[in-house]
Amino acid sequence: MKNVIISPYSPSLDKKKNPKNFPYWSTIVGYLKKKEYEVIQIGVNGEMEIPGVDEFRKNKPYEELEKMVMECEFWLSVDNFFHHLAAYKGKKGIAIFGPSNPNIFGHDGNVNISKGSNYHTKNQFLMWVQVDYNISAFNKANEVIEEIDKLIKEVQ
Amino acid sequence: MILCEICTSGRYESTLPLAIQSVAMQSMLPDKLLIYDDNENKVNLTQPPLYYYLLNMLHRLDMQWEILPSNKKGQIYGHQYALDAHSDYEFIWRLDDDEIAMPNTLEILYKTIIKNEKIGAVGGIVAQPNITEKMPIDASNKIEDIYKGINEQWFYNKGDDEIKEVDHLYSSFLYRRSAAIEIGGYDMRLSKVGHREETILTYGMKHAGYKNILNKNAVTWHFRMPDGGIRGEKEKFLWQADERVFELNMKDWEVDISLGKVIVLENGVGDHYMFKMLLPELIEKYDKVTIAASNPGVFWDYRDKVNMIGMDQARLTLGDIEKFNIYKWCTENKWKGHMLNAYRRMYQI
Repeated sequence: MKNVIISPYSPSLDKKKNPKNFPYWSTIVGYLKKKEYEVIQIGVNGEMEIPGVDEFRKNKPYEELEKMVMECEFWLSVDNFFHHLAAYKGKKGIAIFGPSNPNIFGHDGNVNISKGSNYHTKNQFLMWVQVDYNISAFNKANEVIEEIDKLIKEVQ
Repeated sequence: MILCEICTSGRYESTLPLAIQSVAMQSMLPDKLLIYDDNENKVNLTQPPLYYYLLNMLHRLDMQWEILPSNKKGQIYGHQYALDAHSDYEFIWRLDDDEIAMPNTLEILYKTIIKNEKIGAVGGIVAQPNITEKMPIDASNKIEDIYKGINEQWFYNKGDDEIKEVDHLYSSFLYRRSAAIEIGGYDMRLSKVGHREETILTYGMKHAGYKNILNKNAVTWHFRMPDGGIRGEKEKFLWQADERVFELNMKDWEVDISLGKVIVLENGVGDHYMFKMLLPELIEKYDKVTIAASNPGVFWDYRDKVNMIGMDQARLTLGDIEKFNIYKWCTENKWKGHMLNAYRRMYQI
């Protein structure tokens, strides 16, 4: 079975929810399962497992993550380390942005989903702990699913 | 004759009694124990019941002991006193006051050092019991790797019986007094912190033609305490001053300590990967690249292409590392472009 890697969290900040964390992961995972993908979540101890994932691999060394990303069909992540790792390896996937600006932090080889500059934090170089969580900064799940469908066609 | 010396500060009621006990329990006993008492508020150690018993135990084991009160000058004075005042002792076994030697440690070290009179010092594993990770491939006792800050002696691997020549030794080891005297003893330019004093001594002996041996059969446990010892010395400038003394020694030994193009990444893993994309360009442009990274594992596939150093080392060598803060740089320069280009601009790639 082909697998898709999801990296759904940016690190929590002083027990505060990271403003870059996309809120609709369970819908996305449900859709990927419907498409018969094996969904592998990657993360670290203390992070919540997204309902429906097949496996949650925690605390993997970077060497292994770089290998994993090359073996997956495609990947999805928030604006955390993973889309940079995937860009470094040249593996296409979807990076979901909220308050951060893909023109500054995104990579051309990836599909960067963002609601646009009206929702980006004015100062992009603050510590993210200084930014409040705003759910409206994120695209809806169905908009992400549209991009997933396009990517599936592209990689098939 | 063997002298064991322990320099102590701030550990009367924590690990010092354990260290003394481990000396008394050796399969081969030293002839004398010297305790260099560098505490601010000194206690007469012949009085507290625990020390009373320990010192009497040494006496019953025919081990001489001496407690030398210091003027809070730092461990380096204790080490030098051990050398200067003990001409009858050909071998000196250094043990820190938060270290517990396994019972065969001194015997193993001694049997190794007497094999060849050109062996200047023999050390073993000096490991924290709580650190269970395997030895990283970066771990090294080569002098040119010292800034990596990962010493082979820190990693205990049961059954590892490797014996090999190394450039320098850390913390606890047995050394030949005559070799140390030949090189002029300890570097007394060091501050009371005595940062890198053992490396300066042991590499100095190697530079003078002696060998340093790492025998992994000898195991000492390091109960690394948050307070006391040189960790009790908070003054950053003393550590930096000692680093300068170390650099002078390295220059004298003609060891290349140049870092080349220095990159400091005290930021997130994503920032590291962003930077990693630029590494081929950087390596192409600069002959030597040194990276200090808070997540060094990101650069696992560049170990043979760049020089990795620890963040603590970066602070010691470079002083203020805030100038390497990419986010601060972006803010100050009102940066509007991509982070890759910000890195390019900041590091002149």
